[in-house]
Amino acid sequence: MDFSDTHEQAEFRAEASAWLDRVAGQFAPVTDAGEREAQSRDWQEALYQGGWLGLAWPVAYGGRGLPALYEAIFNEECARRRTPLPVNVIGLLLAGPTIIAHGSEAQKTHYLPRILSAEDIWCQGFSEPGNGSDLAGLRTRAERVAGGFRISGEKVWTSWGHLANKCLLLARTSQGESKHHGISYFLADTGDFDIRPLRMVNGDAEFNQMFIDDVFVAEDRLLGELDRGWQVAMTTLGVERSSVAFNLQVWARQALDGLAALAVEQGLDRDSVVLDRLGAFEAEVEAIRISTMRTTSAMAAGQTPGAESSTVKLQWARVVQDVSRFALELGGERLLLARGEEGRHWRHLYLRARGHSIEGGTDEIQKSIIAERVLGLPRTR
Amino acid sequence: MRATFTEEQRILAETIERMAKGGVDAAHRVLHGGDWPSDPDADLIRDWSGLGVPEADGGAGGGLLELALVVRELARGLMPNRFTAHVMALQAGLGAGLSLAAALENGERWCLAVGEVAAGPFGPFHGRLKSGGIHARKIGVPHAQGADRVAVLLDEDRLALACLDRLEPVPVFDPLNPAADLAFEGGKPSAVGSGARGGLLRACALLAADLCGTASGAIELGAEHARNRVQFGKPIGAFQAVAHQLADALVAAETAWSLTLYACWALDNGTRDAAKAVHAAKARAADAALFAAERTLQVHGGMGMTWEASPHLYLRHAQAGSAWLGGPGWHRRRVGIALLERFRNDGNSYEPSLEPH
Repeated sequence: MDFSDTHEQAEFRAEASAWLDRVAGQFAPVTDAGEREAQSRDWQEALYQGGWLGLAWPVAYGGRGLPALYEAIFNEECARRRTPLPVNVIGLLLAGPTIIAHGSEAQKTHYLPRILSAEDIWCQGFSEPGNGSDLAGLRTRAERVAGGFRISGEKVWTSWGHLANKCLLLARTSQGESKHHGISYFLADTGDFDIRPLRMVNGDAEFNQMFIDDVFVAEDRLLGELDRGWQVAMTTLGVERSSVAFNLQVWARQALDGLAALAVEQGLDRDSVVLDRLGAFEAEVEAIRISTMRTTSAMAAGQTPGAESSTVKLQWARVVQDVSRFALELGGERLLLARGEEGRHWRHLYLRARGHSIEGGTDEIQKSIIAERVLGLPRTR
Repeated sequence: MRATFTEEQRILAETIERMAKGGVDAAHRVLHGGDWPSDPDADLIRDWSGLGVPEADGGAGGGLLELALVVRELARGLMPNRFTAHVMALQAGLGAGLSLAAALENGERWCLAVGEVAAGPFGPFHGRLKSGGIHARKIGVPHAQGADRVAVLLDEDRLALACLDRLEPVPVFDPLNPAADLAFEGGKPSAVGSGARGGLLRACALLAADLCGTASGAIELGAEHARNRVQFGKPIGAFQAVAHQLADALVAAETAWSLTLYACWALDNGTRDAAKAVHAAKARAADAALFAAERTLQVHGGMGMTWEASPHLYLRHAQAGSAWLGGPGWHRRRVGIALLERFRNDGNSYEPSLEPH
């Protein structure tokens, strides 16, 4: 059990730090939705030009072929500098790894480089109005036609859908013996989708509803085997849970550092209740960082990550929610009912964070995964 | 970075896991007034005392991390043992610069005396050396009975090694930790070390490992019950209200274990964030152990409230470990202070916690 960098890792960390120190200053946090979108495009471009995307992807598809630990190191350094998310976050975190795992050679060669360059921007068409947690009950249908499929249905809570031109789309292709059979996984264009923004509780239109009406999708857009898309979807969901550990720990660190700065600014840094709460948050955020190192190291040693990604996802959601709630409590009406960037930042973060225990598999789903796979309890659904 | 267990570490944990089998029954017997079992203490103290002690000091090498694995497995099996208290005292001594060679050579059994009636967890303590003799009063010292040597926190800096003087047993709350109040009235210490705070941190990291084991053992007991107890025609573990309590406990236990492993590593490697890491581990491990034991008792329903059932043994051990060397709130506040330190100094810079060594 060794938590220190090897010589190569330390060199990489130094290289990443030097680059981030030079560049990250231009990407200070903003709350205005339009500015944020422009910023996340610029950030992706900067990362791409700097060669910092696809660190763990194969070199043949535009990646750098490094062990996953290097991604963790890079994200840790990003966390320290409060960098934004790149615009193609769904492509980088979900589409890429899923295509690497299940794609044909032609699919990998075509799609992967375009994810890194943001020529394609991806969204995830999984959830439906009638099927959120109960994903396998989805009703979007794909009918076989000459050269491909015609797809009809409705998708909802689609993050970044309004910016995307590609979609990881699940649709039913047959009625199998179980509801997990007969689902297929498509790499669809969104050009013919009717995409309508949904406003989130913080006012942002970050997610969308997508109406798909008899849209043609060509044969070569099928990812994995026909009717066996559920296994492919499980890869995406697994990556989604663990990507929290890999990437979104950044948010937790940033939120807590912001709260600590707020406490000092308010002169509450010797208040024992404040110290107690901050200490609890710091322990949680550190635990996420350490668990990430443990999981990543286990993967590097050839083990497949198990339910620990559910553990980290639960911790992450809770700590970001608790930190932002406590910030509003400390700031009171000065943050809640005032003009100015600081108040906007915390109100925005607090409201957005409510979604963390819902997106990517609700807390309840994660707990059931832990109960079944780690504790060996019977199915609870 | 290779944050996985080595093969040796895995084998060590499995070895101790086997030794801890039957611990729950033994703990019941102790709580019911039975004699303290001689096994596995004799083997543990003979074979594993030198773990985490440098070879130059007569030890077997390895680090706190290896000791943490041993301590965790013993608590997970709820095996009555004085080994945990013994190695906590040895490691406190090591941190305070005492030589352990003679103690290891002679197979001495140590205990650690810290708490006082009017002192915080890490002091200020009120022990004195007068004319070369120790004067101190310590309360609730686990495994004082039968100890060959007592590591006594004199003040915030000095740790003295003494023989037992006056001893008053206190009622047994935790069957794994029979305790006593101690008074030292002028006996000569065999050694006095300084840097006791560093020693206390080492002991705290091991206590966190003990609490992690308690949490895991309690969760396993609760899960076993939830798989087998049938109500409304199915195992109660099929109800989310039951299953999710145990899942919550598992998340807390995993959090605590990651923090504890890191704290041990940080102490062994002298990183700048080591003290903060220990406080975080101790706080979170105590919370996890208490929460897990309480949830397990709840999941056991009415049976859980009976003297004969085992959940209260975990609860007792969790409470004892939580109270010893400072409760979770005290440790959390230390973490909070450490976090704010870097914001008081220079606004926003992030102190790197991973120093390549």
